[in-house]
Amino acid sequence: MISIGLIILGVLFAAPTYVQINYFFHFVIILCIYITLSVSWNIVGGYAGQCNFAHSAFFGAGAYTTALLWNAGLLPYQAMIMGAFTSALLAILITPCFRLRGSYFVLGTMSLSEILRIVMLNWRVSGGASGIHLPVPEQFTITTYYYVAVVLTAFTVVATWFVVKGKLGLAFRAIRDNEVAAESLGVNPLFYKVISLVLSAFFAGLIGGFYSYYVLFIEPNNAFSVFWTAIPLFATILGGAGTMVGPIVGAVIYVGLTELTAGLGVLSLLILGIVLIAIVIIAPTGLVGLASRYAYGRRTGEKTVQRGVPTFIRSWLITYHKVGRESMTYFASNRKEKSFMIGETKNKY
Amino acid sequence: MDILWQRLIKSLLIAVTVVVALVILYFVALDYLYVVLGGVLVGGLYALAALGLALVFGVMKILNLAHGSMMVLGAYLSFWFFTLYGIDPFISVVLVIPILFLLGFAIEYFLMDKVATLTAHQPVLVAFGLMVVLESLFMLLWTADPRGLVLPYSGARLTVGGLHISLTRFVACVLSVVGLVCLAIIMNRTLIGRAIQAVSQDFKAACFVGINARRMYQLAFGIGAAFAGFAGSLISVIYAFEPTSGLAFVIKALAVIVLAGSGRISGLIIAGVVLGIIESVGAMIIGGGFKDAISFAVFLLVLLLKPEGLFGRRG
Amino acid sequence: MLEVRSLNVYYGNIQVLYDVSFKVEKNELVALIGSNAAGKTTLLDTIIGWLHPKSGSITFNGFRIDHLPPHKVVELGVSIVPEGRMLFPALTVLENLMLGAFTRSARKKIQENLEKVFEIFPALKERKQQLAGTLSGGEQQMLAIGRALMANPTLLLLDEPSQGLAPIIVTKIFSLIKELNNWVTILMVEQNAYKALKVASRVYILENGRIVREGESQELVKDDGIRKAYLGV
Ligand SMILES: Nc1ncnc2c1ncn2[C@@H]1O[C@H](COP(=O)(O)OP(=O)(O)OP(=O)(O)O)[C@@H](O)[C@H]1O
Ligand SMILES: [Mg+2]
Repeated sequence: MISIGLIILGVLFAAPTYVQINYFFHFVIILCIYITLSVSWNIVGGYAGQCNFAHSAFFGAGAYTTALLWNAGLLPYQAMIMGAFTSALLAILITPCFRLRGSYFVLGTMSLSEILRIVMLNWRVSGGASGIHLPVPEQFTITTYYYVAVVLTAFTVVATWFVVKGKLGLAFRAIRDNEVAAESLGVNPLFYKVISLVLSAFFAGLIGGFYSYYVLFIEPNNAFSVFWTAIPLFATILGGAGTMVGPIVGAVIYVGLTELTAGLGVLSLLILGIVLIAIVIIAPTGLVGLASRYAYGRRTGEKTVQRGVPTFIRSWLITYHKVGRESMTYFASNRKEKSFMIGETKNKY
Repeated sequence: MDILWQRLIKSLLIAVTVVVALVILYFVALDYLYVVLGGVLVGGLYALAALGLALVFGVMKILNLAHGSMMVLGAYLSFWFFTLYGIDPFISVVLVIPILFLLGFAIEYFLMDKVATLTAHQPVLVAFGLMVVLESLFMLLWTADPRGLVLPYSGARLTVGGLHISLTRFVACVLSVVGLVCLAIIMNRTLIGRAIQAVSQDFKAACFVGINARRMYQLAFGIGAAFAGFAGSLISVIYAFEPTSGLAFVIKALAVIVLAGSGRISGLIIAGVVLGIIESVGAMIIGGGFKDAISFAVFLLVLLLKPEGLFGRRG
Repeated sequence: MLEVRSLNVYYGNIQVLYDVSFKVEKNELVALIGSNAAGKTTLLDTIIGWLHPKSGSITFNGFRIDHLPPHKVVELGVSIVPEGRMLFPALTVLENLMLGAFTRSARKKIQENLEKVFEIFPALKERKQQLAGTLSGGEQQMLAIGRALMANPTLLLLDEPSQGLAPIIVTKIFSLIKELNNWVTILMVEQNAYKALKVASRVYILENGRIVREGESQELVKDDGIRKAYLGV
């Protein structure tokens, strides 16, 4: 895995000397933005298991801070780092949201980013609904952008890799898999959840800052769009949440798919929604999970039907293809612990 | 006995305060009285919007993020019936409700059923996907422009004791309350309603007495969608809507549920009215641009500070 | 009437029942005895259709029922008093009983069965409007049995009817089960081997997911191994 990563990185660094097509640069830059966003979303959503819908707020905060500070006269890289720290600060500020569980957390974070968007729309200092225009930087060529994007993405991926392979990552996964058990082992769930969110927000803010340099114009409806949450979420789920490769693969597929369906307009959004539903139902562990399951089946010679596969396909596989049947419950009702009914929320903290 | 007295005195106090406040408003600031009245009327609608969501929530423990988009679908269908065939939205509701019921039933049958038992995240993700699909379909079918219905009697007013009340809003509010009462009757008086309650109380036991629990999930989801459509049709008469209105709708409905703290009908109505008033008064004070932000903020604050809701029973 | 053949049941990858086979004839009262975690509840859950076996078959009156969902099995005339009673706590006693007669065939006989249940359990009639969650343990067990009878079953599955009850009530419940056996066939799962051996005509012994002994209860009571292991004599 690591060698493949290094090879890809090498190729990307060498590419500009051989390929000088603007479209290629643009494609890679967009790809880098989505990979960074997905990898950073995965820290909270995949490893720590908190389905965070405020990613767009972090992205937007980074973008706005960078733009404002740049206009105020800071150097580009300084403004970008400040943007990333602002996002991280915002992540600390929204800690109370971790009092919410499951779907309430989804909604809480979602409404937070909506509130932020509406406030920015109505706030004069940041330009309100008309947004901020940035001066065209003479010294930057598309190759500069290209290198910055690749370096930022590589930095994010490597840093995330060190985090999740280390002790922190272990704590995140412990919380995701069983919060009560993790707590009894001395892992403070709140602390680690906040850490994961801060890390995630830092990278999102960083790439948000880069985005505002690249497009040179930002406005609330764009910078704080739900889009910046939806796409990383989609890419991560598609590739496989809680894995290092998953979000990257997912982002590549997403960008490829949108480029292919670019002429279709709204229809591409429709396809996206359908693919998301299909993936969640048929392969809840994502493409990476599906691949490893397949490899495992090849190795052991055992075939089983995955749960979530529609009943008629299941019975067809069992009958005609001699695929083994898990003896499964009619309706595995493990939802009791995970329920989030109103009235029960109180006992949960 | 003590408790009864306490409750009686409490509700009397509340009633007296409300009446006094309204009277003061009438003489001191008539503008505000209108704002408050507007909030009350919209509140019934909010309660109706929350009802379907609360049902699905209570029975299946699934948060249907697509509820708002289903409301928007109801609104578009009314819009369609009106512009194409000239059917009055208050009449086409009769068509919208069964259409949405079938849609909800089908969604549960083909999609939600597959993930309803897995972790809490998966149903939310499927619902999110549905929201995306519905929104893009709206854009394809009806473009991204905001739509609104102008009826021949849109401007009509009722005049009661010197106060003018918009006729459409009044009718919508009354219909909402009728819808709320109907569902209460279905849930508490019919066999199917009791079976749905049984499934929500103990899924396994419900299976063991011979209830087809998955069918009950499908019915509950269908009813939830039907009520979303109902609320959507009524909204189409009052507000302009666009493909992406769904999120704001679903958050408002949730704010009502969280305020109410339980799925009880009376709680939902009061919470809906409270939210309606907060929103319209808030918008008047800090500016109309923040109107949606207000309900988001109410939702968040209640969830964080008073998770059992305003009228939630503990234990 | 009920025939189970080489049943293998798993939870995910963990096998719980190994090659379980047994039979229940019409009008019998058969007891299945086993210690904790032997797989008794798993077996009943599989018969009623909550779990599906990986292999093996279950036939009821000649029908294969091993792949039917619970509501279909109940419709065919099997009814269960589940472990831990599983009442609907926020519904009244009457509503619980009414829901017991949810299947189409049971709905026709609802009045008749209701009267019969009230005749057997007069205590339930007095508490018709009380919420099921507020009943005492013994009353809850009666309600659970009553609810199962409302489904108009021909085979009644009982999962540890004596669990968590005072000795006097246990005796009462067992004599009642004996009496019920005049109307319906009963398959009962018990840890209380002494009482079970007393009322049942035939007994199977389940250990770690395998049937290790079977026989008439009179014979087994005399068996030394059984007396040591299960009766503590
Ligand atoms: N839902 C489940 N998932 C995984 N394993 C289970 C599940 N339910 C039961 N088991 C396991 O299956 C085995 C048999 O359980 P079962 O409940 O059938 O035992 P039992 O004989 O009814 O015990 P008891 O007398 O305590 O009720 C136990 O080891 C238990 O841990
Ligand atoms: Mg048991």
